[in-house]
Amino acid sequence: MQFDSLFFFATLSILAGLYYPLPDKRTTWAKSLLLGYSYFFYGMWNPAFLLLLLFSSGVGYVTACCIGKYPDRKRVAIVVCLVANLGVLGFFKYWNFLVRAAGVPLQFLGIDSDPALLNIMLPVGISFFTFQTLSYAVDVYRGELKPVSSFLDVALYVAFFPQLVAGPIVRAKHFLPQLRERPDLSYRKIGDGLFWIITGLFLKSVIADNVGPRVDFLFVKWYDLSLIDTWCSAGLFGVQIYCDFAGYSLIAIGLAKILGFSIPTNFNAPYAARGFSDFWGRWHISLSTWLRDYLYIPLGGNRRGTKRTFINLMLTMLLGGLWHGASIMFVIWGGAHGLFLCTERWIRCKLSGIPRPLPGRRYLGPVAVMLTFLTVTASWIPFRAQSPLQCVLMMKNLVAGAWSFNLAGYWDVVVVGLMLLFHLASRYTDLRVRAKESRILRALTITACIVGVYFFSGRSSEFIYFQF
Amino acid sequence: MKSLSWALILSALIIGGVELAYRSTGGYPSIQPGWTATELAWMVDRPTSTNTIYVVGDSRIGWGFSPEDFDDELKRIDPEHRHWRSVNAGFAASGLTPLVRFVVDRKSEVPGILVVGYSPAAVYHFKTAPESRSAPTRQEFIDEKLGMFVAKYLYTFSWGWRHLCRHFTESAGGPEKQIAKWYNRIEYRGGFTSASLQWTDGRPVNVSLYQLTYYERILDEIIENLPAAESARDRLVEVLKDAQEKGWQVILLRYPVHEKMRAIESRLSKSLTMERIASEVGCSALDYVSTPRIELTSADTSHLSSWSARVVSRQIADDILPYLSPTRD
Repeated sequence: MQFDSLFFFATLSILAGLYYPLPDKRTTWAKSLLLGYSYFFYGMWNPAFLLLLLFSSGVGYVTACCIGKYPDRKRVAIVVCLVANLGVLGFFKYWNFLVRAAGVPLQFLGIDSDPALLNIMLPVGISFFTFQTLSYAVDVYRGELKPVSSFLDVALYVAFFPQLVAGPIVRAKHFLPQLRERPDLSYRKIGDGLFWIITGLFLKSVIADNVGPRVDFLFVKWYDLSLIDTWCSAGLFGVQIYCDFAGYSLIAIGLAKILGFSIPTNFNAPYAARGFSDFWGRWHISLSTWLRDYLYIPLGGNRRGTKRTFINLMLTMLLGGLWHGASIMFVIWGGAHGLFLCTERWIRCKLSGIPRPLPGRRYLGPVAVMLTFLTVTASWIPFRAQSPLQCVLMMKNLVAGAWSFNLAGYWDVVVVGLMLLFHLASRYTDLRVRAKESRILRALTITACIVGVYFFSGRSSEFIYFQF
Repeated sequence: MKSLSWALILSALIIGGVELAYRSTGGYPSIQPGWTATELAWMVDRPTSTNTIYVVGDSRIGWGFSPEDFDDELKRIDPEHRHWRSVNAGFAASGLTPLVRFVVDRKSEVPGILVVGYSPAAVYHFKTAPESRSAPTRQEFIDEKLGMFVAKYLYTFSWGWRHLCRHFTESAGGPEKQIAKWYNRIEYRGGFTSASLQWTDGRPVNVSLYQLTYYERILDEIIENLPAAESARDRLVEVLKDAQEKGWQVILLRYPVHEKMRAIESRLSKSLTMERIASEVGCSALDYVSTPRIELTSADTSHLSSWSARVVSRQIADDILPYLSPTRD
């Protein structure tokens, strides 16, 4: 189910009507109600895929129980869990990609191969709930979390509807304890939750959905783009994907809040980042920290020398790129970010040898922000391009295109500029705190968002991250 | 929570104010006088069996064919035909050729029976067609229905700021021009719709006079431009033949209309009649205009009343039975 729909809010109000009167919101009945609604929410796409969700939850639950019961065989249990979950993910998401990729060397050798491609639909949110299940099993394996005896709790953790299909990826050690605590459902918390829901809807419906058609137009006419047009199209896509995904995350956080749960922040003014490691600490935070904790650090992190650190960074980012989708374009995007991170690390190493204070130090911050913003913007091209050829030619246009406006307009520049300014303002002033402090500011913000959603919504489209 | 409450009051005042201004300057709701494209796509996509009858056409079908009554009647007169299901694929002001193509393309793997609701306007005049789109999700379908419901009461809902700006600019430019618009969509239990016409200043429209004048003009245009009409006919024939080749059974159907409307449509050249199309396609035709078998009431001389829609749907079931085998699977 989509969040930005009348049907969702109609069914949500029914859920609220059943949930709020319950005296204890953490009883089996209350949790069953939330789980039932979460399954209904997911089943609206394709009820058959509920089996996958159940399978993933079941594997996570059984693995954790086995680890708890037979600690000496925990390695076998975790391997089975990894194979089962990643196997399902690989089958649905990467089968066709891998089969096609395997066919390429055969074609070079002149061997005609008939790849066994499958006509299967990608289950919505499979990457998200698979990672959540894995996080639970791995945390139990590492001894950071005790196995939970109730399957209901694990199933609700995996399927909790606010974050089910597009994150944030919630950790078991963060969520499961909340199922045992009395939730804070004060008016203040509910008000906060509603504030985030309305803000998220504004980002998605008003900004992302209005910018989306413009981005589609520019990326369809990519062969006509000048240098400025290409920068505009990449920048606009950056605006679209941020508003789409951050909007979804804010709605998810708000929904969880009004039900008495807390889920972590996923974005924190990423376009105002000073460098790429800062960017990944601000963009899709739940994924980057997941990759850091369950992939980068187990690979050795930065503890095994510079060369190995670079390899680990590249591997993590390549897999992070591939996580987004079975396409060479995502691999390129991930690889590019891996390279940026390695380069930044190398520069930092070199700079650390220079005695401080550095000359012109006060200009370094803004320069770093601008450089990061421009590089991140450029890297959206492989993420959005339909083919490697389009990607290469658009990248070429970024530096060697004609210096004119062919298809883009001044408004495109204004939209991108406003987004950058907003992020810079958010970096240096905590707008959330400001909004909390001033009731008038808060009321005006909510009014602007409601009126904006009512009058200025674009044509509703699916959240971009649903496909991942 | 206090700031939220204030914000809600403020938002309601702003939205209410714009709504009031919009209504008082001749604004009208964003409703469709029939199925929306999403609803139509959803209904056409649902059946998975070849034992399906798609009744396609303009609003005469959309307002006048009740699948529930048709299916009931078919089951009643011959229980062997209980597997058959019908779909009301009527789309208001739709050109028949693109609509047939829309249905045939969506159901290329399970061709059923196409009952093509002929009307001169649908074949020779209307140009709109539901846009080709991917299969709507269940949520999109329900959302569309909810949206149509809300739009009946909140005229500014889902129009978007561009429409509102244009409207206010135009109404500020001088006295508003009165136009007839669709105001109230009703969905009947049998699976069909209707809507009511109203002038934008709130006066009721004399619907019979409105429809007769409207169709008179359409017929004038068709008659004046005969070659264009004939090429439109040829395109429809081609599309229907193509459907037949793909395994569809085609039956033409002319829906009953009021005698005044019949008089207007009888001015049509013989080369543009349903019989001519049926003979070129080589298919059967059911004509309820030339040979009305039942007493019906018309809502506005062009569309049937809801009661008559049910009656005629049952009559079509009786008449179509000889063309159906118990199952096509």
